[in-house]
Amino acid sequence: MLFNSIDFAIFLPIVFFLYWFVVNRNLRAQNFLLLLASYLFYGWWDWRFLSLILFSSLVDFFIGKALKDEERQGRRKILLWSSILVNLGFLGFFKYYNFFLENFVDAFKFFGQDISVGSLNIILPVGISFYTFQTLSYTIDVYRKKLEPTKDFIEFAAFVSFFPQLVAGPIERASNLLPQFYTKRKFSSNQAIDGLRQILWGLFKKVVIADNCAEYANLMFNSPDAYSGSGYLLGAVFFAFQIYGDFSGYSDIAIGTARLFGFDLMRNFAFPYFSRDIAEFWRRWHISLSTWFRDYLYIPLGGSKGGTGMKIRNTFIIFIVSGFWHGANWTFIFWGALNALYFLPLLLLNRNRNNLEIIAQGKWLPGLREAGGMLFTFGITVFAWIFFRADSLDHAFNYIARICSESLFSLPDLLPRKTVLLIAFFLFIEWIGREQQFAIAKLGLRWNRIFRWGFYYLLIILILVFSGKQQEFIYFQF
Amino acid sequence: MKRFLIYTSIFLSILILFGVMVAFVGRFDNVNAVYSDNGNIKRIKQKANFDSLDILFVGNSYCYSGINPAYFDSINIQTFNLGIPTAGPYIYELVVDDYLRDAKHLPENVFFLISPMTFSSKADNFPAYPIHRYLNQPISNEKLVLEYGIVDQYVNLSKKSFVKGIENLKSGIITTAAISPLENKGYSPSDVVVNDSIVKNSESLYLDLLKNKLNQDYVQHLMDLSDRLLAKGVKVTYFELPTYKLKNYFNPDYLEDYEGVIEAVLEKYGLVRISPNMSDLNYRNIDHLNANGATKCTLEMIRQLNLKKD
Repeated sequence: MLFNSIDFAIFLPIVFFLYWFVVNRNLRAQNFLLLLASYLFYGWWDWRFLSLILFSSLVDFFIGKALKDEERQGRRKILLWSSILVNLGFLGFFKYYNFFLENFVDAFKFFGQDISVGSLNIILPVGISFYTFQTLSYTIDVYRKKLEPTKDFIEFAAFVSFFPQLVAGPIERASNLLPQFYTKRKFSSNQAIDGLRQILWGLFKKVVIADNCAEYANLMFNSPDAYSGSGYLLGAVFFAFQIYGDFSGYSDIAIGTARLFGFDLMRNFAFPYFSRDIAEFWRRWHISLSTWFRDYLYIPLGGSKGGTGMKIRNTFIIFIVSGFWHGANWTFIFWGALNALYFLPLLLLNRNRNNLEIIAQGKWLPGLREAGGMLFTFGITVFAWIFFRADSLDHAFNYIARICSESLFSLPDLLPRKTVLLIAFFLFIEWIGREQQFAIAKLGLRWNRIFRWGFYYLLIILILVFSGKQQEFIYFQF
Repeated sequence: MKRFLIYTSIFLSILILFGVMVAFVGRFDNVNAVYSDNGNIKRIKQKANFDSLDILFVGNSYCYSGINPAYFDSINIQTFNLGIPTAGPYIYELVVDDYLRDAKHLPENVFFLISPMTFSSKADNFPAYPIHRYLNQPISNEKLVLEYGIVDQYVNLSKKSFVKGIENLKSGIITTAAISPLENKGYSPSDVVVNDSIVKNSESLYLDLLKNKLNQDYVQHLMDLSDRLLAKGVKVTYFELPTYKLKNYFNPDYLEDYEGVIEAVLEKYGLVRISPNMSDLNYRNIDHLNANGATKCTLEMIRQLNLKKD
């Protein structure tokens, strides 16, 4: 079920009504309702994959319980690795099997040996990378004794499959989300209204910005050599806004929806395109994944505490694994490695924590240096996105070659003025709201209700009038 | 909770009121349609003038660009070209039912155009061509989306109707304009000849077809419609016209499924597959014939039908 679909518009109020008016007096019944709703939400795509979530939930639930009762370190390690192998085994099979197979065959070919191994027609279960990481965080935290394992399977299964963030995050840490299933939820009008506001902004980002940018970006990335260099450059810039609007829009809708049910999810985006360097960008982009890798991979590897060699190794590992997490394609690995290259100079010169505060805090405009940093960071990010978006490395390099043609300095053949204006409006609102959790969190709260509601109606009208061709959320494929 | 419910109810009520207002104005989208100069609307509004047909051609824009009824007239076969842009099985059903409702005599044959496009995501683009609003018995946007399960198109349909409704209200509901007669029995010729620049400028419209899957519900819908016509005593035949490069924009799986459909209709209803020796000079763009191509294909169809008669 897509957030921007009629199905979801019917589903959400029904679940909300049952949750707050029918089962509101019984916490366990509320959790059970959330579990059923989540399975229905997920099964809407393909009910067969529900068995995967259920199996994964059962494995981690029982391993969590066993870890609590087991004191012997050797046994505890076996239990932990069992969970990791089962979860990553599923992920590896569904997501990476064909990739490894093809590369294996190619490697043999390279050495003059032709082998024939049939690939499998595997359908990737929606959101498998997200819920796998979420459930892994539970087992690892229980293993590290940072978290008490739950005794209630309904609570745990509801935590693993919680529908607002099931298919595209934020990837919640068990220590943040699971305890919220234990405690009685009290309806808060302010929290719910705030949630609706965040849903509205998320829909605007997805339907107006991402879907409109997608039309132009798809045209440029899919077309043969026929447009000017400036057109291809604009296509890459539009893709940058597409992926941001798409993914952060999804996260906003997810966080807002969770708030309607009395849950607080972690922040996933913090205005990343206003970053002054790449380290700041990575603190602001897909925060739930970056911090997951930091806590469960980077720090266990030694983080940035060792010597220069270790720092370089760990940086490459974390960025390449992060790239590979996005998909079984060399393009994602290259994208990860490229970001590691961007990041390393800052790390080695100890400048990776230079820009911790919000840009131009308390001011209308940034300084010249800040603006320059922001533009430079955006530029190199757009360059890296080309690899992320391309179908293959060849495609990416060809695309870059097309940008670097003589026509780079001419006007694009096709200039989607409407989309440019929408992006300008979007950036303006994001800029004035950059000190908040999301751009319109506080916008208009002091205005007269007529103006405030007028602004919300304006957003709704923009969503209806400028809705692009409905595209699936990009991050579902991960 | 009470406060939340009150405020969200008021907010939503205003929004619904606005939606009702938009839908109300949208109802004026088809006033004066009978005086319209638009070829597609004329085809719909004046189709009743072409009764007692030997053949009713139904299809999308390939149909009205590629079949010239004048050549059938010359051999005393009465035909009418009821091509509607982007038409797929749903539009076929709407226009055929509307035709049959008003016809004094049922046509002897209905020829349905079939093409990879007929079962693709680009077929039945109601928001671009809201033909249901111009039928002799118009269908509301609400009824259409519920009947065909295309609720996701409702907003775009309403937008289109609203804008047209405003235009009509501004220009006045009562008109003294004369009815502009339909020419060429629905055939719409073009002298344009395809070239690289035409292909380049329109290619973007086709690229997303590469990821399409053939819509099997459409296939079933068209077959059900064909069976309904057969039950009424109307003979159904399918026909396919050549295109310049259309098949390049479909993936191999899609084309394989399409060939499966071709085999099925050939077995059940009969199929005329027209593929005379064509050149670039016979097309006006990636998938449409020009007047030259239409002449060639219409004559080829007559030849094939005659061969069948023999």
